[in-house]
Amino acid sequence: MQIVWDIRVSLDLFLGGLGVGAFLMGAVLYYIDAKSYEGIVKKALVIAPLLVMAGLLLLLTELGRPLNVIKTLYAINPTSFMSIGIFLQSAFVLISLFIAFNVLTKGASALCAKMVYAGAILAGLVGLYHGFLLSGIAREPWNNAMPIIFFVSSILAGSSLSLLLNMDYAEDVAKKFKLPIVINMILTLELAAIFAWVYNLALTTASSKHIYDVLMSSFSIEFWGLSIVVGLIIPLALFTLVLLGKTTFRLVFVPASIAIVVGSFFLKNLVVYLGQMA
Amino acid sequence: MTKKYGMIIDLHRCVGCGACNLACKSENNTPVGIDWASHKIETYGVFPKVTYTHTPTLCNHCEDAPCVRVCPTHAMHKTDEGFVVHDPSICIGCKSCMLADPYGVIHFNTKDAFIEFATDTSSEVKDGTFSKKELSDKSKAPFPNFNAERGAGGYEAIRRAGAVEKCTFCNHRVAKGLAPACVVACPADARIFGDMNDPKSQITKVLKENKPTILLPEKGTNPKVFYIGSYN
Repeated sequence: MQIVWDIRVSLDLFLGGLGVGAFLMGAVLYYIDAKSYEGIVKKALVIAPLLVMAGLLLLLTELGRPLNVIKTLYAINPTSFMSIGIFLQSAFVLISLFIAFNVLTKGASALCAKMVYAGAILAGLVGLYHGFLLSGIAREPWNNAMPIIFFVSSILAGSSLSLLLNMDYAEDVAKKFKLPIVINMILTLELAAIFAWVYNLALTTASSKHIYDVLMSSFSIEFWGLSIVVGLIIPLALFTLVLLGKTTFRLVFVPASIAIVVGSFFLKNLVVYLGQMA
Repeated sequence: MTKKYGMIIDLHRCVGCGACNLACKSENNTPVGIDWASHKIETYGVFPKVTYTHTPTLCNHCEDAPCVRVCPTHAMHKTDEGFVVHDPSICIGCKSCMLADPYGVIHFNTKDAFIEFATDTSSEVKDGTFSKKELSDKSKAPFPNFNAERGAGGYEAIRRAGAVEKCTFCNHRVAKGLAPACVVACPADARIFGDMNDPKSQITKVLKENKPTILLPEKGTNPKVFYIGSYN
């Protein structure tokens, strides 16, 4: 067993995911009503490129020859997801930085709708790329479930962070869009995707069964405790209590959102390390 | 017809002496801890019915090489002769190839190889033995056993930190009509190297006469290193 990618890769995938999720949240609210949600749109669109760039900077420190990254612009390998991802992330950072500059100087209402649309498409592609980066390497646990698991986790964590930074708007947004129902649906989708992934590991081949055993033994706290219970079950339970009228959104919103963000990191970190145990 | 090089390792002839490993290190200037040619030892069964195997390993120069597929810059690439080789000058050091490689034969340089021969002035016995730097200076080479030929074709003769490296089937030797160093050094003639597209070559004949096996056939990589015979 050799750990080749350390926590900086996990942090890149986590911070990049937060940025992508925040941008998509900002873009959706921009299209619904840019004026009413000016504050949340502004913050979401500004933090998006910063988070993605922070992740990329961490990734650069992990590379053996970071200065050679410039060569990826002309030495392209179309069969490598990383090669494609470099272009996607560069394009997303450029567009989202332009949007962030405009939203800060001119306001959300003055943004070019087509530009936000292009940014949202790139955000989606970058979100999916994070999973494809791993599934393209094709180690045992990094299978085709990765793009969905990573993308959904990014949407959950990024939008939760955006709302956390805009507490004043959060309750209004929650009421208007029935946020507890929407979040619970996405949390359930993520749980289903993770269940399918683990079930597949447990049943497929001898090496996947080995990885399943490693997951259930060496990584049980990170998986069951931090990724599933903290990251998904606790927020699901809290928002379910809101739906049942047992508590208010205002009370559960902060702990549930923090749990989603923390769980997203631990899930991605766990997957990155687990793949290297194969 | 394009040449397609491959290698056969006859496990029945192999005595597990490690000469291939040493010859490779000398030929390719690999530092301590990085072995392009290596071996794996496995023990099977329950005492007293146990079986011991010794399998020499190296890059399999796969037809469908996963390391080539994932490399973002084509630093890891295939040549026309089917060698899977690496160009450190465009390698970003992402290590994706190491993760994609199912055989564990790609290595990462965490530091400049043999750098101690340029910096270490300490000696075991003061005024009695040479320091590494003195050895390097007196031999007028980066380190005493340095093989300058490894740098043919622009390849880094000694790889600097931050890039990966692996067996190249001694492509610098093959270009001169020579066999790889591990093939030449084997005292038991357990290794056969040659053009698999040449029907008259020894490798083609031996492959036809035997039922060769490959490592990890389930990975579907179509390796070009074949094993015949049995170590036991």
